[in-house]
This record gives sequence, C-alpha cells and structure tokens, in this order.
Amino acid sequence: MPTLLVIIISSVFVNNFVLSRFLGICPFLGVSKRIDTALGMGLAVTFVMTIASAFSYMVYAWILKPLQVEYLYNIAFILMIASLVQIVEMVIQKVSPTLYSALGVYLPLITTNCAVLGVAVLNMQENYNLLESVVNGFSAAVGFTLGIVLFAGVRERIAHNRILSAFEGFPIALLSAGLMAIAFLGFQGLV
Amino acid sequence: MKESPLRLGLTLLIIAGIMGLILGGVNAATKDIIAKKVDEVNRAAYGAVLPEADTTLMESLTVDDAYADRILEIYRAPECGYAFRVSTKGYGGAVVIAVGIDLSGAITGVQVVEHSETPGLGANASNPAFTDQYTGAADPLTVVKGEAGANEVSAISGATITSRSVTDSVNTALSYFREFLKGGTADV
Amino acid sequence: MSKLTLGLKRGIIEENPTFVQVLGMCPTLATTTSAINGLGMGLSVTAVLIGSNLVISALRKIIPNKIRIPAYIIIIATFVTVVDLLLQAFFYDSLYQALGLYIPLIVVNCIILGRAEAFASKNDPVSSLFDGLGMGLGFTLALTVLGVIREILGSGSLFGISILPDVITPAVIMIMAPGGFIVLGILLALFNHLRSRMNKGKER
Repeated sequence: MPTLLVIIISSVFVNNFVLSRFLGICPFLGVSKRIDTALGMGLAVTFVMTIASAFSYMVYAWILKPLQVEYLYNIAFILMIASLVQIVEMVIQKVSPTLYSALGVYLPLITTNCAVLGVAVLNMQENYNLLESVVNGFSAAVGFTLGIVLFAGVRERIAHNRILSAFEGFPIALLSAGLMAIAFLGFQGLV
Repeated sequence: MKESPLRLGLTLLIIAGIMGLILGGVNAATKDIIAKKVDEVNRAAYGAVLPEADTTLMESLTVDDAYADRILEIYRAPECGYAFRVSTKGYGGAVVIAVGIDLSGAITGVQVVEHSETPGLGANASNPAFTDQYTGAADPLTVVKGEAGANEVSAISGATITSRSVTDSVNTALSYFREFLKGGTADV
Repeated sequence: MSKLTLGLKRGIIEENPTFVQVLGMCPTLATTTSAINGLGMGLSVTAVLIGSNLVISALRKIIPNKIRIPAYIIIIATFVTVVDLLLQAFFYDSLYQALGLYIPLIVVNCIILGRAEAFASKNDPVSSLFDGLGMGLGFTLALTVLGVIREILGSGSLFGISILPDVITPAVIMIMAPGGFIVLGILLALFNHLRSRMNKGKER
C-alpha cells in the first residue's frame, strides 16, 4: 500500500486527472472560460469527489462485497453519485443561499463528470482502504481544480488574441490543453 | 396518474429489479468464462518463464508477509521450480513481471506482464532482447549502462528507471527463493 | 427518407457527437491511442446506445417524469455492465485491457444520457434504435479516425501492422496525453473549416 503522500503527489501532479488521465474533460472544456467560474466548479467538484470516494468505498466494502455482487458496482456507484449530488444541492440551498448562488449551477453537471465515477472505480481497482480512498478522491479533485484554474488563466489571456476562425472555440482550447499536458509530463518519474 | 413518492419509488424499484435480474443472468453466464480466462492468461505467463513446467499442475503458495507487498503470487511447478509474480514501482507506475526460478536457484525466464512505461523507452523492457539477459543468473544483479559483466544487466538506453525496476523485482524473487524455498519442499 | 437513413445521416454527419456536439470527450481522448482501441470503444458505446435507446423508448410512456433521470441511469448502467462483462469474457487479452477504466465510464458518457433525454424519451422504438445506431456510428467514425492518425504518427503502425519505414521514428508524444488534445484540436478546426465552406457554398 503506497503512503498517503505518494497518493497525493501522484493524483495531483504525476497522474493529473484532467491532463494525464483524461477524466473530467467535459467540464474542463466547458467551464474554463473564466478563472472565477473555473474555481467555483473546482471547489464544487472537490467537495463531491471527496464525499463520493468515502461513500463508494462504503458501498463496495460493506454492501457489494459481503453480498458477492461486486459486478453491480457500476450501477451502485453512479446511483450513489447522482443521489449525493441531489442531496448536496438541497443542503447547500438551505444552509447557505450565497454559496448556492455561486456553486449551485455547476452541481447537476457533476453527476456526469467522469472524474467522480472515475476516482471511485480507481479506488476500487487499487484496493485502497477508506482513508486512502478519501485522500485519493480529494487529491484527484485538487488536481482537477489545479488543471481547470490554470487552463482558465490561459484561456482568459488568449480570449483577446486574433485566431483563425476555424480554430475559434474548442480547437484552440484543445491545443492549449495539449501544451499544458506536455508541461505536466515533466512530473513523470517524480514518485 | 398518482405521482405520490411511494408510487414513484416503487416504479424505480421495479425497473431496478428487472435490470438487476438481467445483470444477474449475464453475470452468471459469464462468470466462469472470465475466471477461466484470467487463470489462463496468468498460467500462460508462468509457462513462458518456466519453460519446462506443465502449467496445469502448478499450485499456488502463500507469500510470507514480509514480501507480500512486492510478491503478488508464487506458483510451484512440481519437480521444476517456481514462478513468481513481482511488482516494483517503475517510471509511470507499477511494473509487474513474471520470474521463473528452477530448483537450483537459477532464473529460467523473465517476462513483463503489466506496465505503464513510456512507449519506445521503458516499454522496450518487454522485448526479449532485454529480458533474456536475466536467464541463468542466480545471484543478485545490478544495472549498468553499456556492456554488462557477470551478475550485471545492461540498462535500456533512456530507461534506467524501468530497467532498475525489473531488476529489483528479479532480485526480490531470488532473495525470497534463497530465504524460503531452497530446500525444494516449500510450502511457507 | 427512411427512418434508418434519417438516423444515420443525423448521427454521422449533421449532429456528429464528437465533431459537432463535442460530447463524450473523455473516452475520445483517452482511448484513441490506436485505431483498434478507438474502433473498439466506439462500437462498445454504440452497443450501449442502441440498447438503452430501445429500452427507454419502449418504456417512455411508463416511466414517470419525475424519476426519469434515475430510471435512465439504471437502464444505461445495466447495458454498460453487460458490455463490460461480455468484453471481459470474450476480449480479455485485447480490448478489455486496452480500454480498461473507460468501459465502466461509458455510463457517464453524455452522449448516451443526452440521446435518451432528447430523442428516445419522445420517439418510437424503431426511430430510437436507428438514432442510437447513427449517433454510435458517428462517434465510432470519429474515434477511429482519431485513433488511426495517432497510431500512424505515434507508433508508426495501422491496426497493429507497421507501416512507417524504419528510418522514420514515430512521435511517441502522439499516443500520450498531449497527442490526444493536439490531434483532436486540429481535427475539430478542420471540420469547422469544411463546414463553413460548405455553408458558404450553399448560400451562393
């Protein structure tokens, strides 16, 4: 079992969920036009992913495994994530309307964010215990937030550049992300 | 149509139930096929590194706790030797290899089973040109750049970390053999 | 135009999930390291799309509106697990290892839930089947093209067969993460360019 530090460095930098594992690309491309929206999405995702990692571990270890229906993990995880997002949305709406107006619009999108389901499945495949799962979920989300905020910074800058019309929008965004991914390749071999 | 929560919940439960049944059926139908396939693939790797062995006769041994984080499996091939499945951190992730050791303690073969190394560099560790270097060795090996002497292995150019990872795994298997399996009878 | 042709035309050209709708990006970038992987993933998603579109359309009058999303998710996840188990049983050495984590992730592929919401819940089963087929084939085409380009540039091979002469060393970066972003970006730009020229042609 790797140490917690190795998990953190691995999920934030070396195997960055967005720039290396291609998880969470849809919100990465869709919500990264401005730094403040990117940060909002990142925070919402971090919150959900950390809790989802804990719950998916519990569902797998305490329900699916004892009943020997591990093959139902996909359905169980995605339903748990969908319900979690619903509950989180309702709770935030009641507890803090200001927070809700900042983050609320991103929450439903998180259900289909492959990073959330992805980290739950990865935790299961690596046989992490509860603590390792939660740390990995949190680190993966931090890596996602890092990626999306950095990317928003880049996009804000190039928004004022003149670009060939064919490249406007997604193409130039993808090329920029590619350059960022090359930079992150430099972390390989760190752990 | 009454849309009370109870009725909604019940409908959902029925849909889930039907889907669950379908899945249970598919799972039952494929479970044995999958288990056999996984076993087959594992045994094929062990057969490749212990060429003299009859893979159908191989039996699994329990790994001593001190090595359990690195040695994933050990199979004994009667009259023949042992096949190890060892994992060591490489460059991009864990590199898992199969190592065959005969009863005299010499390596009979090494094969890279799983890796996430760089294509064109570390991934070349899978080539026989690299793994053949280990055959016949019986003492701990070191990695060198350039020409290799006795008990030395030539690193893949540009992939020293991957080369070291494979060598570490081989050395782990060798030291396990020396510590636990040497008398030939072994069940730990 | 028959329902089949309509569905195919829509899914492959007019509303191509990858080049037009820009949906399902995660598997598009992750599984196109080779032509066969792109093709395999595309066909797996097509199988799930056809199955889920068919079932959801057949049940569209029975599923209450308030719980339709969880119901769709259950149905889609079932088909994904079936495809997962079948790939494990019959393609263990090849596709299953290559596609890895992205097989269970098909369930959150926005294309599938998107078509369920936008089409299958409002149309008859036959049209929905062809819609799923069209979208799936459009996706498969996009992934295969991407996979072919990345494989030729990054491994010097096509469907596993070496085609570049030995003197040319392939650009390994093409089959790593950055390669996915870059090749898709250029392809999208190309597609945009072609579309705007076609539109200009129509205006004349």
